[in-house]
Amino acid sequence: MKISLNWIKEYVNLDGISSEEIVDKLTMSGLEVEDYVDQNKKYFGIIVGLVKDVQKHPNADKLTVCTVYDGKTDLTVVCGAPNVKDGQNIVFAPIGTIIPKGEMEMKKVKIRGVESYGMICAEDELDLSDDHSGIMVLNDDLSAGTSISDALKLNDVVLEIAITPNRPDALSHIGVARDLSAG
Amino acid sequence: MQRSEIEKIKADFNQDIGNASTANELEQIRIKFLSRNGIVTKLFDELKSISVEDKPVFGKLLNDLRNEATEAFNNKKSIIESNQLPDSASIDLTLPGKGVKVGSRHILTQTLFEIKSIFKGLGFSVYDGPELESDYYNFEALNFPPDHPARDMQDTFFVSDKFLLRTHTTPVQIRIMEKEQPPIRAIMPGRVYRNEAISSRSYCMFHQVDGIYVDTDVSFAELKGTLVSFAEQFYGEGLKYRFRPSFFPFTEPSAEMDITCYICKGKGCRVCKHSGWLEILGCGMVDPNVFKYVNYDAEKYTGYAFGMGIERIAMLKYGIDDIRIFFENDLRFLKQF
Repeated sequence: MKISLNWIKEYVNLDGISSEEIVDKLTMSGLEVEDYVDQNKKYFGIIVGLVKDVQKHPNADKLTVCTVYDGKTDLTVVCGAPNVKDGQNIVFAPIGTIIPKGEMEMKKVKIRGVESYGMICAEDELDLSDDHSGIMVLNDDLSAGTSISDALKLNDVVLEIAITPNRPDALSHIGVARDLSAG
Repeated sequence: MQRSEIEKIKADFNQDIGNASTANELEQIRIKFLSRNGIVTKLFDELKSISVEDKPVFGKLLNDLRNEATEAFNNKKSIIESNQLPDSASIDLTLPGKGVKVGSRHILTQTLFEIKSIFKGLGFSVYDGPELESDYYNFEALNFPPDHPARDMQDTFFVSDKFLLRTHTTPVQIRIMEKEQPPIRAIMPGRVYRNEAISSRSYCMFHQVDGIYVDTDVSFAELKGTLVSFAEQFYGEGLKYRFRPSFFPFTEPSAEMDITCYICKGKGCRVCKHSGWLEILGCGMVDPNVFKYVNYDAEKYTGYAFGMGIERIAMLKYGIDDIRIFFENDLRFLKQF
């Protein structure tokens, strides 16, 4: 069962306790944490970007060369999505960030002769859905440079807990919160 | 037709066949005498023009001639064939001989032998039980009530309403306790079956070793001591371990034993799912309800039990990442052990 720590925090004061510690306490109390995802870490460095300009790629039919503003500077980014337009707020993964899908590090690459300084992400690359039909377009009121964790409220820690058949009481957030407060 | 004519043909044939020394010459003889247009066959045609009285006499002579000739031909043929040596050009005498492939014990057998030898050293004897089990032994006597959700922990192949392929080797514990009185100290290896989708982590059939110790004053501390001793003998000295609370219907309290991940040494990696720990077995103190089923006095006796998957143990020890490879009989895999 998946448990949201943000939700647990409505019941238990977890200030100053690291998620590693929480995982250990739950596991050793009989609620085995099989896996957990810290979204702040997962989406670290990925930000809101503003598309300022879209040009056709000189050497490719299906690619475009975009100018993306990351809140500080303009960067050249090659994009393959059909739905990219100027003026859009998009999800931008700068060089050095880790793409959640496949856990690959972004590097500066030359795509058909044009240097690209990052990637405009689709939903599947962020591990949000399987959709790869086009890039994710964000609301206009977001400002470039804001982290995606803040912009999309992806700032939770999600625990995957294996509940044994003798603990139906722990099949709820309030049940897990009760055990955690005792630990 | 004359009798002398037949004798002459017979003599010619015997002379020719006596002189023949190669398969080629023999074939020429066959064509000359015995083929459809051969001398002997043609004689049969002449039978038509012979008088009715003489026909049986000559018929018999001709049949004898043909039978003798055919037999002589076949004898000569087999002699020539057996003497014929293969063409020396077609044999390469410098080729290395075919080596005899020596088999070895399967990795699972090796692992089981090692587990057995460790527990024998700790005073455990080895027991066996049937793979086709009744619901009673596999579930009910192990404190799984008929509608308890714990039955869902093990996806079961049912053979009929009452019988199933055992999902764990734990039913053998009940069979031992029914037959014998404490103290009991035994391990029970064997095949088990689960109705699961086949993947790199699960297979429809695998192997387990269960263990049980029942006596007066058996404590959880003894369980820990025994299993830590086993793990140190099997995985090597100095490993870190922990006992994590868990649940099995037939033990109370129940625990699972983890050891430090051998790949990342506890730092967290993909194999241990970033926890730094690897689960190696399940264990616990035998639930008093189980003692009721075998008529042991739960006030007098206590016991511990444990169980582990042999594939899992071997995968962790040798760093194998796919359970299916154990059952594919691929020599490239088997030869490595």
